[in-house]
Amino acid sequence: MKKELTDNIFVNIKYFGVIAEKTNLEIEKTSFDFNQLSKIVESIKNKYDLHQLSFQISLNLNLVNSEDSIIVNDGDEIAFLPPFAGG
Amino acid sequence: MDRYIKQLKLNKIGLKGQAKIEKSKVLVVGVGGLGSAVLPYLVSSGIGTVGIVDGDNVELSNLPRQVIFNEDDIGFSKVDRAFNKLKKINNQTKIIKYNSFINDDNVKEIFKNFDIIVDATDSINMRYLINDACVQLKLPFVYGAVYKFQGQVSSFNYNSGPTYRCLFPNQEGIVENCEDAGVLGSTVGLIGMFQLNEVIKIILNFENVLSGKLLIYNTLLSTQHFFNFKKSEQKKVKGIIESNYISFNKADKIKNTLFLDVREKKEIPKIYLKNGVNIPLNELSIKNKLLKKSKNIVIFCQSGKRSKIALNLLKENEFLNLKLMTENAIEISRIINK
Repeated sequence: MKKELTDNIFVNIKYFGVIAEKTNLEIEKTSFDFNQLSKIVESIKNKYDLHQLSFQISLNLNLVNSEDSIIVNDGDEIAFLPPFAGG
Repeated sequence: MDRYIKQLKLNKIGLKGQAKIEKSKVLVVGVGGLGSAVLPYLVSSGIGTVGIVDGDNVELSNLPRQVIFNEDDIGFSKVDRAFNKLKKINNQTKIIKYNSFINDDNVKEIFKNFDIIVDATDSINMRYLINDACVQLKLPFVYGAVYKFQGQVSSFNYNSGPTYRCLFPNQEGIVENCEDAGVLGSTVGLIGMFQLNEVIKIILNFENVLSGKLLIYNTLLSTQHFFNFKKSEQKKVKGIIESNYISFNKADKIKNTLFLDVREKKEIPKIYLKNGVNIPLNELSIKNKLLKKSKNIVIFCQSGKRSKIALNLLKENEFLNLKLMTENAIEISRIINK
């Protein structure tokens, strides 16, 4: 059951590797007036132009499929995890 | 046993643990920054058999991070030079060297002689190849990779646990290696040590192996982060390695293969192949009409980035028989000139 969102939610977002370079941030706290993970990820992708990059998403330290219908709660943490190549 | 007295003193190791270390066979794929960090310690700890595989020669620009080599080694085979050094460190360890890059033809033949595979490569393609071979041979695979001042570590396929494909299922998108992105010796050194630590934990059946866990270490902030991931059943590898990639040797044996070099005309090394054509990426959207759709087109460039973009561009233009070459231009030129 989807709850109607009455207030904005605040989400901590962590960026790693090449993504952190694109965003120029390691971490930020952002508010959203929607709470679907897929929409949040999409809005971050648009905000920082991440469409060309490959990454996985974690919610509260657990990897998730960001296309699944997952609800994000106030205070949750999302991380953008790209694969690294170097060695 | 005097030699190992300090590690024997650790209750968690003891004589039993040392015997396990001496029985184990560990293969290090790639003698670059990570390999240079892992190898001396692996051999020093008394591992029974250590394999090294790499087809490259030592270059001057390797020295700041590939500390197993010195100035006299420049121009010589990495595995030959590493072999000599490692033998001097511990003559009791059997060292097996493979002077080639791994590819889908040789990977299982090499891996089957070992119990643990250490990934010390610098490309994503190689990691999928290592992963798929390890899944098929039921071998644990200790992953380490670096991006500038950050590193990732995990132990895949440990006791049939989650694999690299469970963590990173897609091959799309752009990923830079050390040559492109730049790297500092201390970062690869640290990540190599984390990998070595995983190897020892696996050999000694310690708890808390990084299975289903990705460690990301940031050397600038001195922070570490752990992320959990599960085994995803859909990503199980069936039969042969499923990928967009093909090795040069394999592709060359296929009759209607056309090698497509998407680098600029002036880039070196120049690759002359009788079944090859050079169309720079920025001309490909117009000049793709010159290519026959019936051909088995195998694309390559300098680092693997442009060839991926070219693959997608050709797909949009309804080309069907497309592959990316496992090797980049430098590796191909070495294969041709051997």
